[in-house]
Amino acid sequence: MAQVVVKISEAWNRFWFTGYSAESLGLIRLCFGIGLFFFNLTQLWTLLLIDASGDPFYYVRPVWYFEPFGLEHNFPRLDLVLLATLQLATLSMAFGYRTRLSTLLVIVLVCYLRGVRDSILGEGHHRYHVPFNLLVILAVARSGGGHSVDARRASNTGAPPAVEEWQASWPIMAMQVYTASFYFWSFLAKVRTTGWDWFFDPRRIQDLLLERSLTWGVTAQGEPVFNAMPYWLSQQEELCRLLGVGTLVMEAGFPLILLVKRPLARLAFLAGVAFFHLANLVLAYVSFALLPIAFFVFFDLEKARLQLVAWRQRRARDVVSGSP
Amino acid sequence: MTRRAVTVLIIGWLAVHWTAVAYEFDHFPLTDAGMYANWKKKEILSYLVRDTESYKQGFTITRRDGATDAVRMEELNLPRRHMYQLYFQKIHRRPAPLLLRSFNKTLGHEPDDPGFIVRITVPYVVMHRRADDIGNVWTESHVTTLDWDEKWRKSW
Repeated sequence: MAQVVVKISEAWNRFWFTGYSAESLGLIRLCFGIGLFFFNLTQLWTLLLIDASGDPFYYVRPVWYFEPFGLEHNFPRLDLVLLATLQLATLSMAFGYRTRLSTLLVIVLVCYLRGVRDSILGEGHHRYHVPFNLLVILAVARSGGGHSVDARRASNTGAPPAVEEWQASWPIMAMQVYTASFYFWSFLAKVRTTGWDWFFDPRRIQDLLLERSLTWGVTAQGEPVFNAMPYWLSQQEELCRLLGVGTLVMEAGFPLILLVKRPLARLAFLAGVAFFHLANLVLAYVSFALLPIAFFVFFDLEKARLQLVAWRQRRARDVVSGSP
Repeated sequence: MTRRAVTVLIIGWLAVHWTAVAYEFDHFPLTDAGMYANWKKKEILSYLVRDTESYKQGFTITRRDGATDAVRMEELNLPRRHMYQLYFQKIHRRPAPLLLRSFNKTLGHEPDDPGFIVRITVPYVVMHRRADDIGNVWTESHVTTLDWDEKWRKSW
């Protein structure tokens, strides 16, 4: 029994606390942060179109966390200022300037601005869930310890406090687990609310495609006036079935990526998921196309960077020595 | 944070998430992944026809003094995308008190004002088609009417 406990403990420690450096975590923060800058724009761009000098709009239904603060309407001018602040804080976090403070500011501003967007029409979107959870993990962890302005400033003023392997590894693993879980929960939600028909009955995908094909208007014959692709695809039964089964494989199988260690295998799988999101945007206008900014967490980017540096050095040496 | 504290944090974090999933908290903010999950098999597929011009004319409204008018997106200070969603989706799904309150508050009307909006009407067309023959379509015209109820003054 004691041996089993020891083995479980060792496996737990190996899973959560080994494998990554402060630089790995820093590069993930940098790439995710830059991606988040654009993600914010894709999610909040409608706020830019509100007349800043116009009257506030009283929300149809405020999001649940607005109610305790009595937030009943938007503040057109202030919201624009806060959106600009969010973008600056996002870049500040990405480049590791006062990393924790910047990350906390991003979290607060994302909560507020996402709340404004959703409250206007009383909606509840889940597009920020993955980035938001990643932000929380980055805020709790010591994510400014590598590839950051903070680390550079600390090294200029003396020896920077070392970020140990376990301190860099657990946030990366937590981000991986959350992202993989999110897809898996989508699978569970479909099975629970609709059943297996969601994946195996081609009429599910057909229904979605037909509904979305009418977004821009429709002719008297029921054909879309713009973007005929979803309408055409909705009539291809086997392709619709394939898309349903593909969704099942992707969502239910996503957690298996945690067991796959080969970067190329991970890259191939995640490229497929990124294509899925892109196809969703083109065919069904689902704004998840930039969610793959979260996929940086599945790679040791520092290892890749060092390999690239070594390759460039070898190439430079070869050029100097004249060898092909 | 010590390594032990991180272990406790991770266990607590996993427990909160998976408890929410296990108890099917569909709108729990950390695990809500239910969008697009719900679907019912139908023989007749019905979709609201979106005429990209009609929503720009605004909502037809009736005021307390009986006058009829139109409220456009410029008056509500809504961008086109929000107006589109409001006109073709939300107005047909959201409860009347929420929408009438939102419109009146935004336009600065109190319940006793002659300009207070007591009715919003939105005509719309639904296109039907058989699931096994999607080229066979027919349409029906409807009107969504949201009427003010004086009982709602209490929560004004």
